[in-house]
Amino acid sequence: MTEAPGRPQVVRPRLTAGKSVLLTVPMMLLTAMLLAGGPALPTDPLLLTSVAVTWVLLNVVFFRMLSTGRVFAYRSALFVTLAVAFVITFSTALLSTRGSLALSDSDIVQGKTPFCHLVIPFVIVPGIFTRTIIFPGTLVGTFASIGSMIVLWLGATLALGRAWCSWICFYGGLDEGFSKLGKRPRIATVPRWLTHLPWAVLIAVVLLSAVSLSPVYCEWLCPFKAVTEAPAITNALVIFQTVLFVTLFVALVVVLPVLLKRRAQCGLFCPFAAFQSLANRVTAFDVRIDRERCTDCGLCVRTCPTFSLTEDSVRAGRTLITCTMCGRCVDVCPSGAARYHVKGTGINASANAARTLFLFPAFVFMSAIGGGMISTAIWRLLRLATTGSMF
Amino acid sequence: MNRVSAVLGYLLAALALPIVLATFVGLGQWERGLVAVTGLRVSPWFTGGDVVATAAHGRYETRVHEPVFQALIGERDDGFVQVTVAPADSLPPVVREEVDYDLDGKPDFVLTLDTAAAEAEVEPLDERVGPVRGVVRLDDGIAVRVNLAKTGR
Repeated sequence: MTEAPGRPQVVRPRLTAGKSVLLTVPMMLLTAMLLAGGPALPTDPLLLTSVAVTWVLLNVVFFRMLSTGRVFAYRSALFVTLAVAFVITFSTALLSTRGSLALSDSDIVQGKTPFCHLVIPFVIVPGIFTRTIIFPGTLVGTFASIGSMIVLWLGATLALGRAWCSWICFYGGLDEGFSKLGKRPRIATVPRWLTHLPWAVLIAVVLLSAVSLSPVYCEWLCPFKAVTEAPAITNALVIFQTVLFVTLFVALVVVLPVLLKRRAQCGLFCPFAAFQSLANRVTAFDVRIDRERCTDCGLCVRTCPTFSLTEDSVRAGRTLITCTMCGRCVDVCPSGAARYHVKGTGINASANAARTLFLFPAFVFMSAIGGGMISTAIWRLLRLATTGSMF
Repeated sequence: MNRVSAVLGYLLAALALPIVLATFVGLGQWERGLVAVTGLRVSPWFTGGDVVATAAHGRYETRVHEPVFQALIGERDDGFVQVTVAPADSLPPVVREEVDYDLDGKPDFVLTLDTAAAEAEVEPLDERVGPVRGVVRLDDGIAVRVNLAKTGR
């Protein structure tokens, strides 16, 4: 790999091409099973094309992660693609089944609202006290049912901790996509106290949701209502809510990420992100800094997308609890000091082994959640190009 | 000790992939199991609560749901009762019905529903009954929610 003049040579653990191919083969089989969704391939040529393109994309990305050692660059490209695909897939699905993106009172009463992981922290306390879920969804058996989303979240939490936020969350890619625009940050530093804001939002919304028995975050604060579904505008209050959603989206998901070149929504506001940080205590993986290699250049601290590294944490050889294992520090560290790590093992244990052990479950989860969304989005776009309609 | 923790670490790390696969392979069973074990339901503030009484009127029927006063602990002072008329294609232009929501054998309010306009009026016969909270068209019927107070107003 040729580095730009003046840039330090990046030392990055990577696998040989042969080993990378060998490890990609099982991923090829797994992703084929996930995308096919059964023993028979789709007969619709457009659908078959979109599934094939998605399969190739997923496996090329996985292979490149292994063979180049660059996790962030490839993950990020796929993560952003996933988020865009989600918006296309979700919106078109609602339009074709419901005829509108607007959420009506009728949809709410009949439990037709897809459940989303962002609500999980807020349904726990009411769930314990009242044994009911304070969300107008369906418990089981439907698209994005409450039960299925909670099971997915539990599985991801046990296996991956807060890696959810950089490998699975279909909203995070929007934030990340905008944070990649522009060459350098217009706002270089963020006051440390601001990075604690998600915890404050989490506590406030958990309490308010428990008292009101309603999903306060969804009703008032979720920026992603602006690009998915939002209440039908029927009165002044809903107009106010809609303005709030759009403002939050523009500020937190578009403008601030562009100015900071960091994930502002995920790192400075999202209460689910704060909640999911606790899952880093459960998972077997983390990211560590090898103090013997670290030169204290501060590059990882300045570029961490979710503000999960500080000078102090680097000196301690660790990331903060909010680390999403996105791989940014691993990619940029010029001395190869930042690395994926299996808890309980020494920092000098094989970096390749730890990275591969992490990449497999993380990538399978990402493919299982995102593969279908990406292939459906490609199919919709192909339909638009060939028939003039996405439906 | 270090060797033991390293082995345990790698063991847990290796378990991550089976956990992920099991999550997806058994998703349907896991979600049904989760709901069965926890006994969770969707909050009646959204669903309108369980149906406690049904009155047949030939081509359509009226369903009275349990009053909703649910709070985090105990009950709230104010709530509502939902009355659903269905099926939608068999409803008369106007539904007028005496509703006994507390099932004490005495009507508590008279509900008048214009099914074409989906507009409703309530004539309280009990001091706990308030005005109409909302009228919502369902896939197969119309739901009317009427405000209630736990005790007399």
